[in-house]
Amino acid sequence: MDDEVILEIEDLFINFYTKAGVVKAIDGVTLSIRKGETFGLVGESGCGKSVTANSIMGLVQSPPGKIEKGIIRFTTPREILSKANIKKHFGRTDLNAEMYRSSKIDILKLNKKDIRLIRGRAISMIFQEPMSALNPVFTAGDQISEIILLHEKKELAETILKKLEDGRKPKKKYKKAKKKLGQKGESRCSNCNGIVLDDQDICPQCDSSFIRNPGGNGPQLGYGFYKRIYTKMASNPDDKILATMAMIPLIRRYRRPMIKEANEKALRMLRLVRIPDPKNVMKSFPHELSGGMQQRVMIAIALSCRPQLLIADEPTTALDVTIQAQILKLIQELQEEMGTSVLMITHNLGIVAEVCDRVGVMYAGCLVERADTESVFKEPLHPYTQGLMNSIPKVDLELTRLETIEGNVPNLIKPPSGCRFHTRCPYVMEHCKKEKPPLIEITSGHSVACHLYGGVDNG
Amino acid sequence: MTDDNPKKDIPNADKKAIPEAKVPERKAKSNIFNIEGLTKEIEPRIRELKSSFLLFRENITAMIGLVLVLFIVIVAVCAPLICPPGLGDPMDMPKDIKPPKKPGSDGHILGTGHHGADMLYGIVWGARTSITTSLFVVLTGLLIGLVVGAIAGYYGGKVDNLMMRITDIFLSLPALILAMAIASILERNLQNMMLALIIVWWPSYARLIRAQVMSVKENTSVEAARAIGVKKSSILFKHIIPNSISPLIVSATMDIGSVVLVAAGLSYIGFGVNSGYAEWGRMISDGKDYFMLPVTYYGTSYVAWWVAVFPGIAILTFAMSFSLLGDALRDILDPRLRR
Repeated sequence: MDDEVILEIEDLFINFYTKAGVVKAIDGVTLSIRKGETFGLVGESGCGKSVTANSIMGLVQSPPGKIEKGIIRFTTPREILSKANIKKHFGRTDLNAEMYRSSKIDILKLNKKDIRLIRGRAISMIFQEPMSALNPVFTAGDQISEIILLHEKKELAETILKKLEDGRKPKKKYKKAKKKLGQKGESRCSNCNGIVLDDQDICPQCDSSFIRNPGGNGPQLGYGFYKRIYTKMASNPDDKILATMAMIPLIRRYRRPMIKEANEKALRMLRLVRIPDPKNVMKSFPHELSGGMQQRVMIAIALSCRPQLLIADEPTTALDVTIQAQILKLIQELQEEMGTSVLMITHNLGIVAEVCDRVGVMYAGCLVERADTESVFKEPLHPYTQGLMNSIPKVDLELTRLETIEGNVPNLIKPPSGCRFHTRCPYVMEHCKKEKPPLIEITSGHSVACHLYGGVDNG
Repeated sequence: MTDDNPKKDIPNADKKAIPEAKVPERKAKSNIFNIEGLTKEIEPRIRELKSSFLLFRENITAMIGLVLVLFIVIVAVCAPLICPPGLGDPMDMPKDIKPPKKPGSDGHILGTGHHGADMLYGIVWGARTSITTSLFVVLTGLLIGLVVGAIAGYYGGKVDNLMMRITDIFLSLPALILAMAIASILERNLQNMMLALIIVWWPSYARLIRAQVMSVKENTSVEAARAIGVKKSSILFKHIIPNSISPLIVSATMDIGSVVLVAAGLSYIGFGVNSGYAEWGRMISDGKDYFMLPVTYYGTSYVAWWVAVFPGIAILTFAMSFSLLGDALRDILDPRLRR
């Protein structure tokens, strides 16, 4: 695995200013995600997992939430970095130049416009409940093509220009052939018996066509107009004149070919997430799809711009168990295919064991343990992690009662002094109530924030 | 993952009898650049409209509403054919300066009214007045209310406070009184009456859409839209408003009927158009005297009830048909109730 770090969160503090008081939701979280790995963030409800994820996306609602301190450093891809407004963000000081060279950007310091370039394109998110995360008035296809239209205007314009040129070429004569159904559900050409894909109109082996009019060159409407528009679009996708034109009725129709192209890409994305009958799903509204299909559509939206980091915020909570396994497997497969890193937020330790390479355990806004999955499950160090592991129901042990962690999650308006877990910790010491334990690396790659281990180092 | 590839389930037992795959024969590759592609582009929309119409047809009240609305529209459009206008302004009713005549006499199917104006002419041409007034007032009010309410609800804070206080000022005065006040300081004609009605009408739409936007903006789908990098203004106009507009459309359709009622009311108390103009409210207002006192004409004395009753029936039909239609639209516009 590549050891290149793609995201670093350093000392993140987030408070929510509510009427009841200041909720100290995130209290010094430090973690890093490497390229291509799956990092699991575990913890009970309300411990700040989702807030951490939202802060990476810049989605923390500004009142009441406030990011007090911290750095979220994200290795931004060059093509986003080269956008003019992000360059401005670096200024000219040496330190910033250094940042620019390493292409690491502090997301928290970006302005609204710049962060939109990263959202959806470099970092994207899968939400917990696909039903409510999809917009009920748009079809699934529209929602996938929306993100493509937002971020990939340049690529779309280039394809359209190419198609325009193709359409001008003189017609070619093709032999006629039909698709046959071969073994294993493959389609075969009736002429040469070669394997044909579903969406191919022309046989790649013998050059015979399955449709009446291959090449698609009919009368060309507005060739010059489209060509001029899309040459402009390809050179500068954020062109102001084009953006204004998109707001005027009738004139906005120049976007039609682009929308069409985006729809085709959306269809490819739906095939990628293995949705049966993607053409129909494109035209269906979210309520017409099952939960699993909705989540697949969400994944298709999230992955359509090939993000560097995918945040999966409890992606399987709203789904039933059989679909859960499918969705997790799908995320894993796509991750390998695209080389995306995944931040998997969950409270299900089974999922962590199944898919994650490394795990961070959170408790009441603090990261209490961070290690690779195997060592967390084999020898959990922090008392809270130990408690979590003990409270997993096991088939082979005959217990009359499930083991639990005594006590309740503390109120984060008045969090316990020192270590936030000391009120429930079985090994609590005087020292724990006064001082907050730092996250210390015990063995290589296994860090824990607990005085039980820090004490050994000090003494 | 059994449901992923539907083709896997197709058994192919015998190699010789390979069934021909049912690949629907497609026409030219659908391409936006040629005409065939364009028609193909419109096809799903037509299908959508058809399914809407099917839903509509199952609803009896909706059909009654639609038929009545269509009837009124046809009457208004064909007004010059039904009642050919004279030389002057076609909206002025032709009159013979005589007391009202009974329906059916002298070729006046619905009789004559004030100053001997032909009732049928007034009602037919009055349909034009009513349709233009109500549509213009409701659409303009809708547009103003939509923009004000949506921006106030979405941006919140100071913007919301300022915009809603302005709205409150308009709402705090009784609608008819405010309309009267505005109409009375302006010249008496149809345009100024419409202006007065628009000023009275938009605040209720602003309130309605603001409440909707405030609830819709908390949806996860809006957050998801933010998460893919959509601009704030695009989120409002592309994601929030389409999700919150359907109650507004229903309310607007029902209001088309009530605008005519209020306009008639304004005309009745004398703040609308002048006497003799083909406007239903004004016609009732002119007819009220004949309703109470009998007219004596050539020695016979009678109550000219038709002068007030026929325009009244016209207003009733108009208001009722649009409210029936609005009721039905509520069912049809909800995407969750479809299919």
